Amino acid sequence: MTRVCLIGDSHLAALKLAWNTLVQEFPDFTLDFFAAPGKTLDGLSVSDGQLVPGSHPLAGSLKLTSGGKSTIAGDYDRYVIHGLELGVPAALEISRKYRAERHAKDWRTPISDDCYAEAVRGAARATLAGRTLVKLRAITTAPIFVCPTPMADARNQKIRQAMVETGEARDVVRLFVEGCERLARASEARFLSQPDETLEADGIGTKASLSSAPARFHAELAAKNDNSHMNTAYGEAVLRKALMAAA
Amino acid sequence: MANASPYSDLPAEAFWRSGVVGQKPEAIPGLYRPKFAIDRGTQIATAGSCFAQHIARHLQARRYSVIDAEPAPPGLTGEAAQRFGYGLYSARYGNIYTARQLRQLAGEAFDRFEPKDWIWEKDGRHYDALRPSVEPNGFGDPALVEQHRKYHLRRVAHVLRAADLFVFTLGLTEAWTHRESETVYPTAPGTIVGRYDPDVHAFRNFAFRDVYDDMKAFFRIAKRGNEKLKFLLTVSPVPLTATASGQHVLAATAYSKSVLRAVAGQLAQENDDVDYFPSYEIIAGAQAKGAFYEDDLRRVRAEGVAAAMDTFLSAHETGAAPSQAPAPQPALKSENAICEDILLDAFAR
Repeated sequence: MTRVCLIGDSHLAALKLAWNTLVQEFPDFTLDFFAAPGKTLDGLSVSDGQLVPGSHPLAGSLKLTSGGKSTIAGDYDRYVIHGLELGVPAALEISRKYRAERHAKDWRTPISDDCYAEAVRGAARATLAGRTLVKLRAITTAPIFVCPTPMADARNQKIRQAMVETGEARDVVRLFVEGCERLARASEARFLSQPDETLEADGIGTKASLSSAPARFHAELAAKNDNSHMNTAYGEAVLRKALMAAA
Repeated sequence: MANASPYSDLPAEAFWRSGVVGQKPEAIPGLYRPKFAIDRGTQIATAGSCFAQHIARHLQARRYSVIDAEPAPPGLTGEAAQRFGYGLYSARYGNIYTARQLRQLAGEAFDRFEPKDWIWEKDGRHYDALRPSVEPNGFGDPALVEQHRKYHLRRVAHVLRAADLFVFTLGLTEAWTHRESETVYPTAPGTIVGRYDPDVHAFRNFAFRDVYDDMKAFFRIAKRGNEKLKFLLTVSPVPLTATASGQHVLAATAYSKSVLRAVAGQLAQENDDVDYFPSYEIIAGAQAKGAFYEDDLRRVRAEGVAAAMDTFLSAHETGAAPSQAPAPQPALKSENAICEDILLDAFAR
């Protein structure tokens, strides 16, 4: 049996639900999920070869999602970090305010191509995923896989449309993926990009069908018009990719 | 009845033995008496030679309001940001070593001064010769260099309009210029980019009157759109890496620092809105016995920067305990600042 530890935020819910159907497909794996909302996982710290929560709410979240464990042990065979701010929106924020040499002249602050690339790649580093990865590597030498936060679904995004038309969108995604790969390599981990089959043709949006009835650990928290959290079908695609990599 | 000597009533700090000998070199009482108050609401702009980077960083660490008119894009942090000239000063002008360079920059921003021969090329890439270090790989098209400089100059204008206090560290008297137009460059052509042509480029070693006039001209330009603006001058304690003056580099350093120190002192004496902060004396003074320099006798140790900044900050923060100050961002290697002139070492025999 390969024991896999999955760590993430609310986006991990889609993988958790997906596991119910994928368990038959991967009979040699046992999975433990450790999730907590938003930035609360920043409260994890390294202690005696484990990641331990720094607050009662975080301990409670870990217990709830893992089925009783409030610390993350260092003896799993594989680890998966999912989400934790590691998403294209952070990179798109740069595009909203800055333009590179090759972009059309407009109101945005001009920066060089090099600077733009460095910034977009760097957006991956300053994430909760990046910080968690460093802590995790401190407690284990086992393979770690890093999966991004899903891209928002394709509805209602005028800015996205403009970026697709100018070709900036693919640029941003490519640089961001490079940044994620760089982040993972720095901790001897492996970045697994969002599965192609979950993406719209433009490459910067998740198919709208995958965000209908999104999975949440707490159903009551599900917001109306939530186009960032994905459903079980999405979770299946990501989890399958992760487990195949981990096999 | 007359005193026995005009020195007899002077305070201890007026005498070398009581004012310097026996005092802790990092905390000499009475060395800095601010002419005007600076607090956390004061909008501070910083510029100057590489030593000035320390001032900005320490002020930011102490939560002073240091203007950053060209903030780094999100995602570009630490050394990567500094490599592109972000976060070093209040705008991305890079190091401003000479008073002429400062005057020229303000003239460009406000007075329609037009530099000549300021786009340099290397390996097919094009660089802003007036701040060559802020884009390490330059641009593919000279038109983009112009476009970026126009944006930068708008931000420089903003800095000068928004600041309450402009802190400037005078660094050098030596500079390379465009012979015909006298456009002054921060680095010698060919050091980072460009190519040295003796028919086009000329060496200048500015004298007291030059530096004095340049600073006065800068004050005039800067205050035109911002009457409340005050100035705080410092002199960089960092010796010259190399000199083109024909003098020994030690003598050339002494000349350069003496001129800059004299100009700063003169300007502070003559103007109510100009003050001088003696970071040069704290770090390079005899009392420090060279202890504030690294082994190369050039780079300033972290302790030296801390001594200068503690003196500065404690003078402005009554009752402050310098040791409780938050540490500045450790983004720079050791206390090294980004100094183009270090590249000159590559040419040292």
